[in-house]
Order: sequence, then structure tokens, then C-alpha cells
Amino acid sequence: MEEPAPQKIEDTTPQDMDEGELYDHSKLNDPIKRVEDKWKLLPAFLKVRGLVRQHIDSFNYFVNVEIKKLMKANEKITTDADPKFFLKYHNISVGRPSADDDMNGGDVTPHECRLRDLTYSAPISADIEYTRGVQIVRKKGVTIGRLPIMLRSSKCILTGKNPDELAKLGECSIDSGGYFICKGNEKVILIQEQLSKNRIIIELDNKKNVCASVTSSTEERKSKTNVVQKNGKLYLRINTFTDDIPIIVVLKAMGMQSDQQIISFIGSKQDFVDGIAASFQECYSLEIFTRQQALEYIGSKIKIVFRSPFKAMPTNRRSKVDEARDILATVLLSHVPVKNYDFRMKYTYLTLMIRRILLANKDPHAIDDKDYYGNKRLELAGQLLSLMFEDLLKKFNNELKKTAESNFQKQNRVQVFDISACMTPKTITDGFIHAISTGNWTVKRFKMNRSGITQVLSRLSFISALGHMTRMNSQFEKTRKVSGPRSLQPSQFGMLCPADTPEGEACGLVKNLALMTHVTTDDEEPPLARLAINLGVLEVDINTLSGEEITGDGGMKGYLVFLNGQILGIHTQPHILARSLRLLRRQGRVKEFVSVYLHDEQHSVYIASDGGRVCRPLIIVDKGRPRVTEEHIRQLSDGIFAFDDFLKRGLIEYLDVNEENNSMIAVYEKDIKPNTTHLEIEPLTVLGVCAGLIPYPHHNQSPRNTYQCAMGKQAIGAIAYNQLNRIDTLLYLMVYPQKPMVKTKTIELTGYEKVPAGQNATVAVMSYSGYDIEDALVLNKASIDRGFGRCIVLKKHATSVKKYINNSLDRLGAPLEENGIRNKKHEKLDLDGIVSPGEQLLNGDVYVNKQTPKNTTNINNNENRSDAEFFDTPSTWKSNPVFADKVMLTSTDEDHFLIKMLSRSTRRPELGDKFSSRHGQKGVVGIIVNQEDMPFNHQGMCPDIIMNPHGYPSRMTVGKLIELLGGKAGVFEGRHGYGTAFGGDKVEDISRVLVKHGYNYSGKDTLTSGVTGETLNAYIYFGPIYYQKLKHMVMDKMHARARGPRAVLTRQPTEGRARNGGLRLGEMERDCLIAYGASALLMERLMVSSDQFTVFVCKDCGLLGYSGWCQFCKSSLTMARINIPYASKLLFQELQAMNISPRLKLKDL
Amino acid sequence: MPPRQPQIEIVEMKKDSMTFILSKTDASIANALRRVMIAETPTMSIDLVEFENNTSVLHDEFIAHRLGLIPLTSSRVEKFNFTRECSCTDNCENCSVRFNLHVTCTDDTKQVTSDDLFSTDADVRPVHREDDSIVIVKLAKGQELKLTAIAKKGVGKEHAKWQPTCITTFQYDPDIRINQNIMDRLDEEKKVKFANSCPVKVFAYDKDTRTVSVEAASNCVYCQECKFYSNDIGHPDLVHVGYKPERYIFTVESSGSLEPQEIVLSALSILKTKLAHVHENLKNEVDF
Ligand code: SF4
Ligand SMILES: [Zn+2]
Repeated sequence: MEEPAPQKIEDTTPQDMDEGELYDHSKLNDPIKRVEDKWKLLPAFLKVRGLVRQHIDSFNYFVNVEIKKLMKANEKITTDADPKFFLKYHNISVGRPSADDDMNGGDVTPHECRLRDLTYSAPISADIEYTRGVQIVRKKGVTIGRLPIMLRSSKCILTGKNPDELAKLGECSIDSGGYFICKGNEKVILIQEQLSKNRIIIELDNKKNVCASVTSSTEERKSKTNVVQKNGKLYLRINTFTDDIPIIVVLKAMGMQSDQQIISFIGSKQDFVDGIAASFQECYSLEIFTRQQALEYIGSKIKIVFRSPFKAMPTNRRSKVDEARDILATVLLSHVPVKNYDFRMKYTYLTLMIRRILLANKDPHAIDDKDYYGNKRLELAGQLLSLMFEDLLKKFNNELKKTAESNFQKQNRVQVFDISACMTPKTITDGFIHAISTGNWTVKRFKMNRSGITQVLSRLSFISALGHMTRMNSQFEKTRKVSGPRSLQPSQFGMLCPADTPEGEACGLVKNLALMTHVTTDDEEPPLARLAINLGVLEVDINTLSGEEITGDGGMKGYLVFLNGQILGIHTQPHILARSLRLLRRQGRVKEFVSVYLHDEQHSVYIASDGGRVCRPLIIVDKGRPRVTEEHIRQLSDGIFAFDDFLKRGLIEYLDVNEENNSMIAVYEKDIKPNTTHLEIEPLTVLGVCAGLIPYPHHNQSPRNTYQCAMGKQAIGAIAYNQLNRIDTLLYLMVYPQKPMVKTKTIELTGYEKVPAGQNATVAVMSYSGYDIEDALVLNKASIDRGFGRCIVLKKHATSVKKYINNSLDRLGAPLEENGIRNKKHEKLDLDGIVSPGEQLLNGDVYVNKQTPKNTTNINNNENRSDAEFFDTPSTWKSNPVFADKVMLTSTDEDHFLIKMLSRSTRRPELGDKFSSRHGQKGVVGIIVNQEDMPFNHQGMCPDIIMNPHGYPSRMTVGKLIELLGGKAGVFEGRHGYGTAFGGDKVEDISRVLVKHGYNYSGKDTLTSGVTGETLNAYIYFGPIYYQKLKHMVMDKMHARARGPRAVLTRQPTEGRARNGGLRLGEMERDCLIAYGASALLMERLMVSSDQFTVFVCKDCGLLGYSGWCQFCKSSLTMARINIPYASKLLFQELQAMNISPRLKLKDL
Repeated sequence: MPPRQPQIEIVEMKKDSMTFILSKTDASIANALRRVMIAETPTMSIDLVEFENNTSVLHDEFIAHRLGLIPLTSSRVEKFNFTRECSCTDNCENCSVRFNLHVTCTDDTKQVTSDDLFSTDADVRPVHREDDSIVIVKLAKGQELKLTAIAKKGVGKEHAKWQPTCITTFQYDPDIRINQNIMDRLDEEKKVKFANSCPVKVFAYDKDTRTVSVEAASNCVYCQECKFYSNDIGHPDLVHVGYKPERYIFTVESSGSLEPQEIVLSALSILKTKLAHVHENLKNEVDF
């Protein structure tokens, strides 16, 4: 088919007119100038959007728009018990975040919530109208529940505050927001990836037959419709039917009268007729000719639903025919509306599904790729919360209804029933808090029961927190071993980071957004539909379009036009339609996130405005010239233009995955061809935030970048500006973090430089001492002395002072003193019974001297309780020595005292601590060497770290080599090097700088051995590399035990370091000992040193007995004494308890 | 063989650094000198800090670490004992120096520097040069730092804070000789290229005489680029790059706690004492 190529679309917006120079035809053949610094659009983009805009936008949409719609849909409560009674919601709004108690006049800051274990939430208030007796009462601002508020969303108090104000509120100005604070924990609602709803997906079933499926989703209902093939015949498969229904029967039941009509809708070409013939045959053999017969047939296949016995059966039971018609109208393809049982839309849709299957039978290319990203939708916090809110609101309304009913049933009511008094916010508040703090999303209506939706925001490093906000979870089962959904799909280009995914079971299922990705929110459909109709779309349901017109088989040129998966109509000049819509979008008449996708193979135009699509901004190119010129960039730098102005002026537009298929996108200006439609803003944006930290990632082997993405999240560094005011469960901070010598643009954009996590170490790549095998590092002791790799570990230890039901309270006891000498354990306590900040806590020291009353149940009026009525329940320090950094006293929601003690310990690197560079090269400290033993160069510099050169050849991390060069040159020039992806400083330039400063161009130096004083026989690659200290430290893992605690049940040694457990001699170790024949050792390890137990066994009956007495034989003659593992004795007894009698047969050896 | 007499020739002497040439001795001796200067020359450094009040943003260990790294004038370090060898139980005037620091910030911000450390011994003070005192911590309004610090005598082996030097290094004196016979046979282009092959401009080409000469041999970093080039043009013997035997160019840069010459002298005397010990012990062994 001949069609105008998309690049010929002429759309000059009025704004463009004054830039006449661009369109000067005489200049068309000039070489295209590079728009220098077009990457500046990237910071401009991030300035308006921030890095977590997708979360915040989605939440804002929910809280400002969606919540009102949900209220409208559930606005009225009535009851059969009293027909006059009603309760109606009028308006709903979410207020300012506040705390329940009035410590600060109700207002609450996020940081206060973190410290006090509160939930950062705001009241949802509604205006209501209801009947009280015979009156109609109106009330404004009734709180129906509390909604957790996303930080930096439109309802958050931090929005629009400048850094100074944020600092006053105890907040970090470079924190991204986008998470919730729930009971003091920071919680992120992960982005959920799903297959898109309301779209036809052609796939192969497990018998390799082509089938079509549609998952319909509307506000009321979710359903799945399949059209399947069996033996060349087509069937409809829905859950509500017991059996697959021949498709022709369904079409007849929907009111398609003649076979001719059916054929015309499916396609009149011979291929289609042949494909459907067998299905017609089946319909005839079932002797179904009329609609009535078809409905009767379908009615007989309806699954019988067992209704609950409490609900009365509907008195006027509808006939099977009616029921069948109902199901066809509501369940089958439920997203296609049916008005007055006019099935025209629906059978058009169904015949389209059939047509697609028949097409795919002939041409396997027509089978959809399930992993294609245009078929995916991302569910964000707003959507998930709105699901939860509707469910909770329904529950809330039901509870109100029940209260009302039970009240009306009461005889002789004294007071007039006032329903507003029953409106407690608890249902909704607790529902939200429970969902967010557990991560379990249970929505009964849609049979949704998902877990792991929320996660605790990882505050290990700044980048881990930021990376957490861009993380995305797939609904796909982690255990399944398939590669399809896990592998990188070409359509993900620019939308998802190709490097950032975990290793192991979640590999490829957990993904991260790229730097410029935007996730859309829902947009109004009706105006768009109207616009499309005005642009010449012939509607299916109004116009009596013939089947030929819809299929386009009869020489008709019409393309089907879809709006969000619904058939809107057909258009005879689809290219003009697409072009006009895009034109209007560039002019701002249509929302910027609306996508128009022309699918020539399917003869369709897909218009999408639904939420959850991923899209990204691109520079528009027409006639071979990018619309963004240097002049624009200059204006951007001068602050005259903002990113949004570029959008408004139609210089830039957002493309989603589908629309990208209609575009030719050039990466660089030099690649622009006559048919190019768009230009990338900056190639580094294909990477996400975590991968953006890597210098020269394009020179590395790709898995190395993936490893670094995982390790960057474990790097110790600065976390946020408010890091020292936080009291987190565990916080690792670095004492002297440094900006990397070689940075990237992403590093500058994300603010990593302000809160870095690592240090620039001078590295010599050479072997030294033999303690550097297997990636171990050699560290310079003097560097450690001077603060290299030094870190602070802060840990929270909370104690709560409880109030018991009899009103008695826990109390804090003053430190014990005897003859003026403090009790040894109480030495560190202040007079209030809590440790004084600054004291060192040693093993055994008490840090909170809490006392609990002995009587916590019975009422006791004795006010001045004596010491005798309490017993000590102190918190005692049991670990390595630490300092008490802070003590905080506060109260929580639940109204008891909370004491938080923050412990601090400063650690210097030691043998076995883990370090890593930014190239996925991790290693532990193998030896710490004195400075005088280190090799030195002619300037007397010696390395901080010596790295073994064997780390390079197999890893192929060329980026690390270049990083060293770039860093070294930077040191001499007094500036930072750049290692930005697909750019950065060139090795050639770097070498020139090195030579200029009297160094070898290849970065190699002549070193002298510090031990012998002789020059080393090789040139050593020597220079700075940015090293991260990872959270895995020997001090937290080191463990050994001789004798120690045992488990109560089995009497075997406990497991794990925390319980001072034993070291397991596992199966494989056991195998070794067996193979070696060391049976005595085996016996010693597995029994004597574990759970040896002496029992007495009767030689006669083989049962266990007493020492010298068998209770079974009532005899004292036959007892023998044996040693067995306690676990086996336990097994015997458990067997006996199950009525199995194990008997031991003893023999003399 | 006549006994060698090691010689020292001072090339440059500045307030905080010196360069000298040690000659007529082995690398082992030169290296021993270097190692002793780094690791075994005693100085004074703050080793114990007692905090009375610290409301600054940095916590106690952080500040203590920073205090330790401040160089203290140690020219009179001889008068102190090592604490572990001193007769006192804890520490005393003979083995330690007490410092006091008390700063309260009343303005918007205030920097606590090494100048705020007041010593009880005039000989041991924080090193101070012109107006660049060492910042310990920056205080905000209302914050206070009050502490007592005790400096002790120690050596760099124990902790880098006791190192008296920033850089102590020696390099070999380069010996670069051009084989002028071969050079004369080269054409002009090759001569120029040869001269330019060195990244640190050791060679110079004289246009008038059309000769290549060794201009600044001491610049050489032994990168072998000149060698590579001469190999490339098929004359591997064109240039000889090596070092002069038994000549070591030392650079000693002081952290400020000791003058550079003090460091060298102190190191030499320590070396001497060590040798004397060896001598003593050996004699005792032999006498038996
Ligand atoms: S070895 Fe290198 S630095 Fe030395 S002279 Fe030759 S080229 Fe120049
Ligand atoms: Zn018995």
C-alpha cells in the first residue's frame, strides 16, 4: 500500500514561523550543525520533574482528581430497613498532614514522624448530607479517614519550600521524596509492571495454537476473554461458562443475523472464509440457526454459582436466555460498552479478534510479542492507593449501613439515630496503614491479593534511596525459569536502564527506569474521542458501517481507530488523522502524553491516553533539521526558557513506546537522514541513576555495569543532609567522603557530589606480597591512619515504657548506689536511669534501667508504689563497645513513652573489609602494609591501595583503566575528569595532559620498592581510582564459638551469629569425613559435641525405659545404657505419639 | 677495595624541604635512611583527648582523629620519654604535653583551628605557618567545644600522625648517553623525532649544529620512550638509559613538626643507634 511517509508531515506551528531561518530552503543542504550543549535540556528536565516525578505525579493525580471520582461512584448509602434514610457525600478533600495529638498544634513534619514513629498522614474529609429522624442534616468537613501522604507531593508540607526552610523542618534539601512514612518507617510503593488492559493480545497457547485474549478492566469489573482454536475451529472461552462455546454461536447470540454478515465482519477474502468455514460447520451441526437458539445453547453452559445460603434466591428467577444475554453484555469483553442490548460494538470487537487469529494462522509475524514494552503498563503509588481507597470506602460504607440497619431494627429507640456519630475514621486509616506497612494489597472485589508492594526505603546510601524510587517490580513469578520476560527487549530502549537489575532469581524482573522516563497518568477520554470524530473518524456504533468498511477488505482503505483499546471507528485517511493529532499535540491542544500510533500491518490507528505508559522526551526533527537550535539552548542557559517552554513551543515532545515505532530517531545530528523525525536529547539517558555513576560504562563488559549497579547501593557514604539528625535502625556513614575525580553528568544531576559514597584512592596495579590473590586488596596503613575508609555505624535501640490495663506504668529506676559507689553495671547511667550521651557502653552495661510492675492486671490503688512491686527489666549492652550518641524521649500514637538510644561506633578498615571500585570489581582487604614498605614513585608518592593486575583480563573493565588515566590527568590539571557514558574525556586528550606534566602517556610510572630500595622491573599503572567501601564489614560477621547456648527442643547448638551459634558441619563436610573414613571424628562432631544423650533401652522389647527398669516389661534385668543424639530420642518419642512404636534391637559387639 | 666513604651533597635547602644527593653507598643504606625517616623518627602528636563539652556537628572520635593529625613542633622531642618507657603510671610532664581548647561560637559560624589549641609547653605547639592554621571543626551559633588533649611522643610506625615527613623519597640519578656515532648517521627528521620522543624533554635538538644532546637528564622518568623509538628505527644502541650507580637523589619534605635537616639527622642517629645495638649484641655473643 502506498502511503505518505511520516516525515513528510508538514506541521509548522505558529511559533515556528518567526524562526524562518530554519526553514530557509536554500540552507537545506548545509551540513547540520551540532547543537552544542543540547544536553543542558537534561538538567532543565530534571529541574522541573525531579527524579521521582512519576511517583509524585501519580499520587497527586489520585489525591486531587481520582479520589473525587471514587467518591462520586460511591456517594450514596441507603438501606432497605428505612427507605427514607440516606447518607450522601458531596465533596471530598484531603487536608494538611497532621498528627493526632496536639504536640505542635496538630501540624506535623515528616522528620517528626520519622523520629516519633508516627504516620505522615492527612485527614480525608467529606461534606455529607443525611437524614436524622425526619430532618435532613448537612455537615461539612467530616473526617472519614486518614491518608498517608507522599513526601513532596502536592499535599506535603515540604512542597515549594526552599533549602533553608527545609533545613528548618529537619529535612534534606536533596532528598527526592516520593515515599511514605508509616509508623516511622520510610516506605516506597514500588512501581508494578503489568500487561496492558483492554488490548487484544495474539499469542500461542500451550498447544501451539494461535489464540486471542483480552483482559478487560473497568471500574466495576475485571474479566478475561479468550478466543481459542481447537482442530481448526474457533471457540470462546470465559470463566463463567462450563465449556468453550463455538464462536459462531456467540456471534449469533449477539445478534448477527446472517452468515454473510459474519463473513463480512471477519473478512471476505478467501483466506478468512476458509479459516472460519469449519466453525460455521460446527454451528450447523449443533442446529443453531437463530439468535434464540444460540442464547439457549449458551444459557445451558452457564456455570451454576452456589449462592450463600443466607442470601435469598431472587424471587423472579430469570430465564437461562436472559442470563446468557446478560453475561454476553457484561462479562464478555466487559470494557466494550453495550447499551440496550445493542451488541454492535461488541461483535465488531469479537470479529476483529477472530480476524487477527486467522491472520496470525497464516502469518506468524502477526503474533504479538508479550514482552514488547508497548503492551506493558506501570502501576504507580496513585493507582494502587486508589484501588485500596475504593475498597476501604466500600467497606466503610457497608459498616455504616450495617450500623444504621441494626439501629433501625431496635425497638423503642430513645435517641434519634445520628449516623455522623458513627463515622469513625479508623476503618480507612488502619486499612491504609496496614497495607503500606505490610505491603499486602488485598482488594476483594477484583480478587486481588498481592504482597510485597511496599518496601522499606533503603537508606544505605543516597544512591540506594534514589535507585529505590525508580525500581520496578514485575508481576511475573520469580521462580519460573523463563528467559522471555527477563531479557532486555529492544522496545525498552531509553525507557528502562539496561544495566540496573539484580542478579539471581529476580534478574530481569526487577528493573529500573532510565533517567528521562516519564510514566503517564490517566487522561480524559471523551474530549479526545470527540476530537477524533471531528477529525473524520466514522463511529462504529452510530454509522451503520458495513463489515467490508471495517475490515477494509473490499478495496476500502479505512483504518480502524482505537482509543485506549476501544474501537472508536474507522478513518479513510489514517495518516492525515495521525499527523493532525500529533500537530495538535505539539501545539498544546491535546495533552502532551497522548500517543498516536499508526499500525500499518493491522490497518489500525491506536490513540492512547491511559495511565501507566512509559514515555520519554525527544527533540522533534523536521526536514532534516532539529527544531531545537543553539539559540534555544542559549535562552535555556540564560533562564529565559524552561523545559516546559520547549514542550509548549513544539520543539520537544514525549513519545511512548508505541509511537516510537512510527519514528526515526537519530542519536546524533550527524545521523540525521531525510526521513528522521526525532533526535535524542542525550544518549546517556538510556541509563538510570545507578548506572549513571559509572565512569566510561560504554567501555566495560556489560555484566560489570550490572554488578556495580548492585554494589553502588551498598556503598557507605553520606546519606542526606539530615543524616546526623536521623535515628534509623542502622546507618552507615563515611567520615571523609569525597567527590569522585572522574565524574559523569548523571553524578552532577543526581546530587551525588553533594552526598558522595567513596574516596579517591591512589591505586598501583601490581602484585604485592601474595596476600592479594582472588581480588584481595593491599591497603596502606598510613592511609588508614589518616582516615581512608573510616566509617561511622549508628544503630537504634528502642525501649518503650508501657502503660498496662490496670493503669500501672513501667518506670525508669535511678542508678543503684551502695555506700556512694555506683553499681558496676549502672556506671554509665544518668540520674534519670538512661545512659548519658557520650558515654562508652561496654559489654554488660545497662543503658536503660527500666522496671516493670509485678502486677499489671489487677486494679491497685496504691499510688506510691514501692520498689518491691517492680522487677528490673533493663536494656543491657551486649556487643562490641560503642558510644551512646543520642537519647530521645517521645511518645507515639499509641500513647506510651518511647526511648530511642542511638549507638555510635567509628571503624577503621581492617583485614577482610570489602571495597569496590565503580566497575563491579569488589575485593576484600588482604593485608595492611606500612607506608615505608609500599612502593613509591619518583615524587615519593605511594599508593593507598595495591590491586592485583589479574583483576583486569577476565573482567575486561576497560572503563576502570580509563578512569585511572582521567583521574590522574585531572589531578595535575586541578579539575575533575568526565567519564560520562557515550562521551567523556578522550584518552588521547588525557594522554596529552599526562605528557605535558612529565608523565608517561599510558599512565604507567616507574616505582621503587619500599622494601629493598630497588627500582621495580616493570612499569606500574598508577593513579587515582574512586573506591567505595561496602557495608559488609568483618566486625559484623566475625564469629567463633567453643561451647555455648543450645536450642531447647533438640539440645543441638543454636544457629547464627546473633544467637552465638555453633559452626555447622554440613552434609558436604560430612561426606568428606565419611569418604576419608574418619568415623571417630564424625561421631565426635555430630554427636558428642552436639546433642549426645544417654538413654536406657530394654534389650527385650527395644523400648526406652528408666535406668534399671523397663516399664513395658516391668522388669529390671534387661536394661542397657546407650548414647544417642537427643534428636533421635526426640524422634522416637514423636513416633510413639503418633502410634508408631520404634524399637531398638541391641546386639553386643 | 678501598673502604667507601658515603657522601652527602646538599642540592637545595628550604624551610620545609631539602634535596640532597647521597652517594658512594648501597641502595640498602639509602633505603634504610628513607625508611627510618618515615617510620622511626619520633615526634609529638596528640594521642588522648578528653571531651568536656562537644555540641559541634562532628562527634568526639571524629574530632579526636583530626586533632591527632595536627603536626606539633617537635624539635625538642628529645626531652620527652616514650610514655611506655616513662617511670610515671599514666602520663607526666616528662612524657606528655597537655593542650586545652575551649571555643564557643557567638557569631553565626566560627572555625575552630589549631590556633585555639593552647599548649602547656612552649616547645610543643601546633605547627603554624603565616595565616593558614588547620581547621578542626566549624561551629554554628551557640555550639561549644571544650576539651583537653594530651600529646605524646611516638613514631610513624605506630600511627601515621607521628610521621615527621610528608614525602621522603629518593630516586636514582639518571645516566643517559647518546651514541653520537649512530646519531650522526641519522637524517634530520629522525633526529628531531628522537628528541621529541621523550615526554619530559630530556633531549634537545640544536638546529645549528644539527646535534642531539642530553639536556636535562634528571627529568627522566625511565619510561623508555626514547629506547622504543630507537628500536623502531633500527638502532637499538642509539641511546643508553640507565642510572648512575651509588647516587641517590633524596627529597625530604617536612610536615612542619621537624625541620628537614633535623629529620635527616635524627634518622641518621637512630640508624647509628641501631647499628650500635647490633654491634653491642654481636660483641656480647662473640665474647661468650
Ligand atoms: S626514558 Fe623516557 S624520560 Fe627518560 S630519556 Fe628516555 S624518553 Fe625521556
Ligand atoms: Zn523392656
